[in-house]
Amino acid sequence: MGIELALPGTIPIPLTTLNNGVQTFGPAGISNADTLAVLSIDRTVAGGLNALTAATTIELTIEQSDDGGVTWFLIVDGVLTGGPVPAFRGGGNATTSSVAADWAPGTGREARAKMTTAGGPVAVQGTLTIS
Amino acid sequence: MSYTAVGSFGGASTTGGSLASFSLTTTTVGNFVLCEVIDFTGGRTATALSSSNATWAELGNPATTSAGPANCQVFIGTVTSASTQTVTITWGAGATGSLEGCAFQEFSSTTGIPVLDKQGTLDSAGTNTWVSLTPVAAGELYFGYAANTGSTIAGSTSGYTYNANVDASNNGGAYNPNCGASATAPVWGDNTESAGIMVLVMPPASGGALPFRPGKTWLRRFRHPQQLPPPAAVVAAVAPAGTVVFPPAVGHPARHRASLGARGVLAAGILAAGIGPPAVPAPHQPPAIAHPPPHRAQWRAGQGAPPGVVPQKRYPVTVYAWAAHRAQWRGTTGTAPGALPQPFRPPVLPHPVPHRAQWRGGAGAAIAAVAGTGAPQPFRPVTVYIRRPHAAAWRGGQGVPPAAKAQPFKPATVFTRAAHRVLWHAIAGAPPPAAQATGTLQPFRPVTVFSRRPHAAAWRGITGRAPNPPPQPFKPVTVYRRTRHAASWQAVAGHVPAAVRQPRIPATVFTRAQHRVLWHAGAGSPAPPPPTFTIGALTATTAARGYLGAGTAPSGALSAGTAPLGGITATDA
Repeated sequence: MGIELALPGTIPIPLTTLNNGVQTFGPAGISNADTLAVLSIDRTVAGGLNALTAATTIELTIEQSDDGGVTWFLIVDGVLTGGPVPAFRGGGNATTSSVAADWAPGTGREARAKMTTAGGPVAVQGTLTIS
Repeated sequence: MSYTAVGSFGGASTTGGSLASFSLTTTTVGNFVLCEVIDFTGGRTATALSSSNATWAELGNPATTSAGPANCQVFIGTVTSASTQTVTITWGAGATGSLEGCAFQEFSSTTGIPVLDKQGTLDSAGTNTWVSLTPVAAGELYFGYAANTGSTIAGSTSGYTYNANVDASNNGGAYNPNCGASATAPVWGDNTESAGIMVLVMPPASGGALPFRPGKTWLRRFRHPQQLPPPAAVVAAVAPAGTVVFPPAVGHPARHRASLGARGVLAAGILAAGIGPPAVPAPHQPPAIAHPPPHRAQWRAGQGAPPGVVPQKRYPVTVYAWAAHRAQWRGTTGTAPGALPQPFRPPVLPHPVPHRAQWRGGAGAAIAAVAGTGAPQPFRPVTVYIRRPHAAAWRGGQGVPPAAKAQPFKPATVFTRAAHRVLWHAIAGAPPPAAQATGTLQPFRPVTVFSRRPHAAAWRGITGRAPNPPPQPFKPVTVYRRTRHAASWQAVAGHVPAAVRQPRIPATVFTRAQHRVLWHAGAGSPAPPPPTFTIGALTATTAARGYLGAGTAPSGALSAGTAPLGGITATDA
């Protein structure tokens, strides 16, 4: 059962070890005023992405449904690779990775996050922020 | 205004990974979408976009900046369906950067899918102003997206729409759908704008891709044969940055000989079929022309008519535009060519009879009256208006401006004047008669003479000091007595100053009347008191006040009972 978010909020993604395959988080309701979705992953947890090599990948996708979860369409799709990667701002290696996009316009929207792992297992912990 | 933003200004991004695809919602078929994709600090560039709701092409050239480095590319998509679809990014070879993001915006257009006018690349360690681009004409569309090394703060440049978090990773995008004719660039509220591409797009040249207009083709006057114009965006993509790009003109195939008409066909058919004179050289070839006629360029330069040519009546050539054959664009994924402009047909210029003003100015009957209809019109001279040279004419010349028009003459009114009353008041008799006996005597009113002061400019032009102002009426300065503020002596250390010495007042000496005992004993009033006793020393020169002699009458009888006045001591003064 999904998490209903009447107001902008954050869906925690608890520390989880992902084996190869697809793991789905959510769904969660999206307020009509919400415009932004950010799925962020902590790379520094034990067994996380920074502790692995580039052979390990996690494909993060955020999907949206306008019909109560019957059909889903993709909002954004990003691929994270294992091993140290440069940080976008501040220099050094990245401690978090994220995918972000705008929600498609609509009412009665719902969202969910999917993680597809290859070269795992990999430990992840993060948040899905809706604003 | 050619362009209008439709929908939201959005984007997507991935940090610490790659951006594979994002969502795009389109609203109207025939609109276009501008999308810029950036890889920051990586080594790969987006080479293509694909989605089922738009047809994508590169717009301009990719750019790689030294800041980052960032690898940027702008795309233009023609909306083919109104829906929300996934746009997939095709990346070139290279490593993934620390940020991969995109920004997009849908626009409607009144002039079709635009083409690239200018492209600029922002490459800075940090600035607040994007690249300034100068449009060919007003009304162009400015669009850009740039990576930001800090926090993006939207600006307020007029005409621009800002999104300081267009890709959800705090990078900014901006556009201006209606730029002015001069150089333009948005200014941001931060100083950390770093790397990205900015483009100016403009309407396509004539013959470019037109907006898709659904409907029956016969309503759009399709003609055969047709030629598909190249996609404007693709043409623009190969153009170097900063150049104006126009798609190549649509070729016009040679006119079919059938257009020569039935007689032309007949003649051509006869010649083609070999009917007629045999195709053998004439037995007597004409001699070579020793003096060829002048080249056309010569008589075109104004040396008269071409030799041997009778000037014909000239009509403008009717040129019809050819659209691409529908079979061609049906096989492609591009936009369908729109309806073609109607063939130009020069307007029929009627030749009316000369205007009435013409025959009114001449002698004789009106031209139209030659036909015998109606009676001759009454003669009316031509109205000739005064024309003065335009002001700009003499302003630009070196002469003097034309004189003002002479004013209508109006003789001055001369009033009769009687002698001043002072004159006849001084003499007896009636006042002298007026010099002119006509009319009633006018009341005399002496001329008012106003005092004139030299204009300020007069003494301003004189060297030296300005004249002194007239002396002001004397008014002595009022001097008010000021007592020292209490705080003054309170702040002084020490004692309060001593009291001021009071003026000396001599003691009042009252005269003393003689003791009543004395006048009680005497007759009458007592003698007047002695003069004021003067203190001083008796000297030899001191005059006696009186002498007591033998004849001195006694003032009273002195007896034993007479009481002494008082004891006289040595200290009596």
